[in-house]
Order: sequence, then C-alpha cells, then structure tokens
Amino acid sequence: MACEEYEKLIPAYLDGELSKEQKGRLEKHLSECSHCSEELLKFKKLKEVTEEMKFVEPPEEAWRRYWTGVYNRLERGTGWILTSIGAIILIFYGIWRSLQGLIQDPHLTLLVKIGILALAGGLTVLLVSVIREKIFTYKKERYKEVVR
Amino acid sequence: MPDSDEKLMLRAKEGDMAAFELLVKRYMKKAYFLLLGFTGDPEGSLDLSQEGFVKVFKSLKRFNPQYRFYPWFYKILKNLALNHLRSRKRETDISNPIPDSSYNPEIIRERNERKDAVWKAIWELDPGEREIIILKHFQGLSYKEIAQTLDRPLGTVMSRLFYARKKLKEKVERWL
Repeated sequence: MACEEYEKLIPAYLDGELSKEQKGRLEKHLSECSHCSEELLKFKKLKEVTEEMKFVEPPEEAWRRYWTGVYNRLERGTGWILTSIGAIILIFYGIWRSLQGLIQDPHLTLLVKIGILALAGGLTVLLVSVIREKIFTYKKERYKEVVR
Repeated sequence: MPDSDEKLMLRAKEGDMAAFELLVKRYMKKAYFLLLGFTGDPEGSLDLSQEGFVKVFKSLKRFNPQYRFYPWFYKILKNLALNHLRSRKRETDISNPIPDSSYNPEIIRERNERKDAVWKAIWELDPGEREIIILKHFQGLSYKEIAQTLDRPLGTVMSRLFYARKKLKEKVERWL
C-alpha cells in the first residue's frame, strides 16, 4: 500500500474509528515512514485546535424560554388556520347570499341574471382548478420541506 | 431509561405535548449550534431552530418510526439554513454586495488568532466539506452517526472527512 493510502487512514486513526486490523497496519507503517509520521502530527494538531473551538452559547435565559417560544409558534399557527377557515366560510357565505339576492331581484333582467350566474360558475371552476393543481403539485413536490 | 427519540415522536403523534416538549429540550442546543455553524447568525439560528421544531410538529403524521429521528430532523434544519442563507444573500446583493457576509468570527468562544484563522478556513471550505467538519467537530457525531445523518456509506464519510481535513490542514498549516 502506498503512502497516500495510509495517509487517508490517519484522521480516522486519530478519531479511534479504524478497525483493529487497519490500526495495526497503519501503526506499522508509521514506525517506518517519516513522511506519514509528520502528517500524523499535523492532523493531530489540527484535531486539537478544532476540539478547542466551541461556539458561543446564547444566554441561559434563551434556553429557559425556548420551549415557550416553540409552543407560542404552534399556538399561533393553529390560530391562523382557524382564522383563515372562518374567513373563507364567511366570504363564501356572503358571496352566496349576494348571489341569491341578485337572482331573486325582480328588477334585473334574465340576461343579467344569466351573466351573474355564468360569472360565479366560471370563477368557481377556476378556483377549483387552481386548488386541484396546487394539491397535485404539492404531492409531487420533492422539496416541499424547503421554505421558499 | 429515557424514552428514545422515536418513542417520543410516537407519543407526540398521539397528542402528548409533554413528549414533544421533552424532544424539543433534548435537541434545542444541538439544533441551534448546527444552524449557527451553517449560517454564522446567532439570533437567526435561535429563530430558525424553533421554526425547525414547528415543522417537525406539523409533519408528525408523516414521521415513520422505522427511521431515526435525527437524520430526518437534520434535513429539515439544513433546508432552513440553506433558505436563510439564500434569502440573506439576496438581501445582501441589493443593499450591500459583500461576498461571504455570513462569515462571523464572533460566534467562536474564547477567540485567539489561531482559532480565528481556523474558523475562517472552515468557512472557506466547500459547503459539503464544511458540513462534514461541523458534524464531526461541532456536533461531535461518530462516523456511523454522520453516515446515518447524511444517508451515505461509512467509507464515503471517512473519505469526505479526510479530504475536508486535508484541505483545512493545508489552509492553516502555518498555525499548526
């Protein structure tokens, strides 16, 4: 095995991730090769430096309030869903009542009533089509976890 | 013995909020530090990590207990980090075109010249190399855990880690 191949084993050796057999082979090579022994020292120093490095922790208060933060977001999410459902129901109810009022209005001609009904029907078909397309796209979306 | 992550997820799926709270408390620091490593943004990472748990909660029904929790959660967090960086890059492009604006040396504790140089070198690695260095050195995962998290064979993890460290070593040679 060439030095290059042994060199690839060095970081795993320092991490204690080599098999007994790999470890034995590498140790034997290290005892005979000054180049690889030098590489071992450099990788060792690099590991020491990276192990010394730690990220700054946020204040303890941030951890104490963490769960409340998550819970509030969940609660607000539910609040938004309920608000949206309520708004959609009320909007559709209002549209339906307005249409009823217009259709039953004796002052409007038949042509206008047909026009209103066609417009309402057309908008409903368009809305259903868009919703169906959205649902279809969502089901096939590979990256739906990605927030855009 | 504490419940496994997967058991807590199952309990949460059945509506047990206390189980979900336990899971959040178990992973909050790990999630935060992972996002901090990816984004270099302390405040944003706290926010994003909480958003990550909200996404977990919303996806409880889709969670398959045959798979491990952390690799699944990791993908959610990584996507959040990538989107955060993309949106920040867009903002930066418009207002202040400084490349690498997310590099932040102040997120390292007890700083000195050597640590600054090494963190800068880590930040300058390719994203895939930086990812594996963060998982090993800042998340403290074993090779097996990294392989599970990235869904890659153990040999690939060992090789990627070697090349990432070799590149890092070359960048910071004078500090070693």
